[in-house]
Amino acid sequence: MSAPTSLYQQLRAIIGPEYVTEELCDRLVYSKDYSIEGIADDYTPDFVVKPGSVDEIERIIALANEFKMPLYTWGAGTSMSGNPLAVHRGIVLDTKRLNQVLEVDPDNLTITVQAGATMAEVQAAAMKHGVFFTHQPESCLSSTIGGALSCMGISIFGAKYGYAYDQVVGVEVVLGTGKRVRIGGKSYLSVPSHNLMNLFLGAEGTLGIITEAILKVYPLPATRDRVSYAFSDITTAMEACKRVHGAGCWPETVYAFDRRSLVQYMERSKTPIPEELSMAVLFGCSGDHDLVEKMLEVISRSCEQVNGVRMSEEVTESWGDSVNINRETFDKSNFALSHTDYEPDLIDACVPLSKFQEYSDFCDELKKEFGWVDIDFGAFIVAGPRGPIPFCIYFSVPIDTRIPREIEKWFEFKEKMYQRAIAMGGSVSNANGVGLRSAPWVREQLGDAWELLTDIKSLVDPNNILNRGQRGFD
Amino acid sequence: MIERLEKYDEWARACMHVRCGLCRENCPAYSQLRLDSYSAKGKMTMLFYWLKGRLEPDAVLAERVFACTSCGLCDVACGYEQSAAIQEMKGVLFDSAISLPEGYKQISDRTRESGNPYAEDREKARTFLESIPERNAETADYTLFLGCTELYREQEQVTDVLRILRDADVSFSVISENICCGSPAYRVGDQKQAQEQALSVAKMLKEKEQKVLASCAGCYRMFSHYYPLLLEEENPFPVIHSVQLIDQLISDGSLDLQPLDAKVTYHDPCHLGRHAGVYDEPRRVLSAIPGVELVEMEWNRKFSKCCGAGGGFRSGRPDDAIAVAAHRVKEAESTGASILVTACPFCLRNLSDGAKSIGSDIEVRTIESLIADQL
Repeated sequence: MSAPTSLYQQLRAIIGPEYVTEELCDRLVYSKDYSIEGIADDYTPDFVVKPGSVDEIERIIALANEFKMPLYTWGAGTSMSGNPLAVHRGIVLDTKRLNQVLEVDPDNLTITVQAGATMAEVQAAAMKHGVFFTHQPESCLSSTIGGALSCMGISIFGAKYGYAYDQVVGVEVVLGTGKRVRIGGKSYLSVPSHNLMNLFLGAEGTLGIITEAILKVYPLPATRDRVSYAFSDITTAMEACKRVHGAGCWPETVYAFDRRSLVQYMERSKTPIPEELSMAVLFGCSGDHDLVEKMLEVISRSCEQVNGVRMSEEVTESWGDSVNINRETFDKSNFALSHTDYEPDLIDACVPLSKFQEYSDFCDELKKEFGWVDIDFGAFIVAGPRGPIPFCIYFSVPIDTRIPREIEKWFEFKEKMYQRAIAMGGSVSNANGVGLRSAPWVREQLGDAWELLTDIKSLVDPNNILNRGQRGFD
Repeated sequence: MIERLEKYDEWARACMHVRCGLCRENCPAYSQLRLDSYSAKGKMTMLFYWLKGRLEPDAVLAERVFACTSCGLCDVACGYEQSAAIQEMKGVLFDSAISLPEGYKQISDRTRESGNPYAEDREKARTFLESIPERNAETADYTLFLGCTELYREQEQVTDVLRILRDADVSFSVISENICCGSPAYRVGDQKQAQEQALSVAKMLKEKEQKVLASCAGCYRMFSHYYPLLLEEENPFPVIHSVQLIDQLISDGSLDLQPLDAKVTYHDPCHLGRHAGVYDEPRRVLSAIPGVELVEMEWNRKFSKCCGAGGGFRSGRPDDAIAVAAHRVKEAESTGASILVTACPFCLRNLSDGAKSIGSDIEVRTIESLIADQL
């Protein structure tokens, strides 16, 4: 038998025929993520491959280099920026067969996992050893560790434990050259020189494919409880958060939703939301019972000092449940039910804390200009590694993607929102990925550093194989 | 024909909007076949592009769509009944000229030709059924309907059911003819054949004017959920599952159970659990056996994982179906239980084969067999 010559045949020879497909019905499943990008344009890849080992990934990269064929890394496709989409066709590499939890080490508070493991699997494995993996986005039942480390994303426990980034002490990466590199280790400061790990975290696979990670885990808190407060506006809600911080409280959950967002999140539970509510904050605390009780007392006092109104237990519970989606609670997810008529896309631009209200007011005015008044998904604010003080306000915009003009309008709207954020001293944010959504403003934002970034990209991916056309790269 | 799918357009769009994939990891088809296209999310993507005209249904698409056990765990994650949309896709594909995966098609062919999905000689069943003394009881409270799997593959289950009914002095009659309820044909998309079966079976059962007792979870779901649709009648006849009846018999003191010193775990059949909401009765029954310690598997009740047999999957992809069952058996083993109990003859067969495939010592039983042995 002669050696396989076509790319397709060679891919099949490397991975096995059942894990390589060029069928349209398979490829279409990998043509859209949780952003409008995949509806606005056609990003259907030529091939989908699903390797079962890092060796196979190395060989696929070598092949992609030989054929100068772009390669897009895919976790679960739950990303919100279009980052895994095959802008220039080519190969989508699905990482979910590399899904093993390799080691749970409670003594050193680490867990070592392959990149394709879902976060729910990682959490469950940690729990079996009495430790707690803290990054729990709403998609954790399906989304992967590799995806989270590449795109960041938010988590309900982020206020206490930080971003997905903050959970990493070591990674294994396969570069665009096909070379495998391990950075970091089990000790918390395995950084003998420059922090090279940060080149690959939040990089959406543009510099290398993350194949394995050593992650932090924490002692399991004994109890959890939560409370929520309504405020007259964003500024007052943020003031309450600052007071909570000043009082020495370190809650694990700080989510602020406006009324429109809250209503959207009650789609499944049908819990009524008070009409007069403008902005509400959900605080969740964990730890020993007495400490949790005291924290909730201090949080309540801090909120009431700025005239916050305590929400009913029913709202607090429904809200908490709707964002706390994991293996035990996935029947409470609102994802599909709240997204039937409109597709929400996200404005992910970070403005300084004092400008949240102004930026939100600008967004509301702009929505009116665009005719998006009756249907609106509103704004939400999340606290990250700064403890209870939020770092970013997001706006969710519902688009009727059946109407081509509405899709065009979304891109026009987005342009105005990002430009306004930059003018206000803000920035493109990497909190929910950059991908295609925020890419148009990356070069401007980075200024002279853009050249440095492209030089690094040329070094580790000389043929521009990895995620070609993403994040502002050619 | 595509009009039949249009009512699911909204769901397909919602799925395309969010792409959450919460349906994926627990999907038995995906767990075996591993491309995202085999998960419900994948099938809803195909539906979306099919309705848009970008995807023409063909044998490849049919192979993906038919790889579904109809377990409905995707529905729990989604909030939309994705399994119903997938079922309708099977129906439309079945009625089109597209060539279907052989194992699935065979179920419908056999039902049409022989009256049962196993192509067994119905005379065999008739001889057996005629040997049941209660067959002619005219004034009984219940008509016992025995399914094809029980009659042709798991006849001990029938013996156990009869023992329990006799022990509790339940007045029942038996129909002395085997006609498939239509569930297997329905599950592989042959709605026409399923309707024919429903018409024959319903005619027979209605004539008895008795409450129908089904000891097969598949027949039970067919009668209670799909006959009203196929026959366009709200409530063609009253029906109860044998586990529900046993639960009543225990609570009214009609069954006296001997002790059994064993740790048991219960596998919720998809037909009886997620699709019919019968979760508590089987657990009450098992807990009522003195000495039995009932332990739950990690995935139980509405989150229960599928055994892999449903939706024609066992016939269409026997090796994959048994591999799915083996996963469930391992889950049962990890509870420390020595007996894995279920309440469905399909689950019984598949889990038993799954246990055998991995050399598991766990005993796979039905509730009826366990109870019959403790009388």
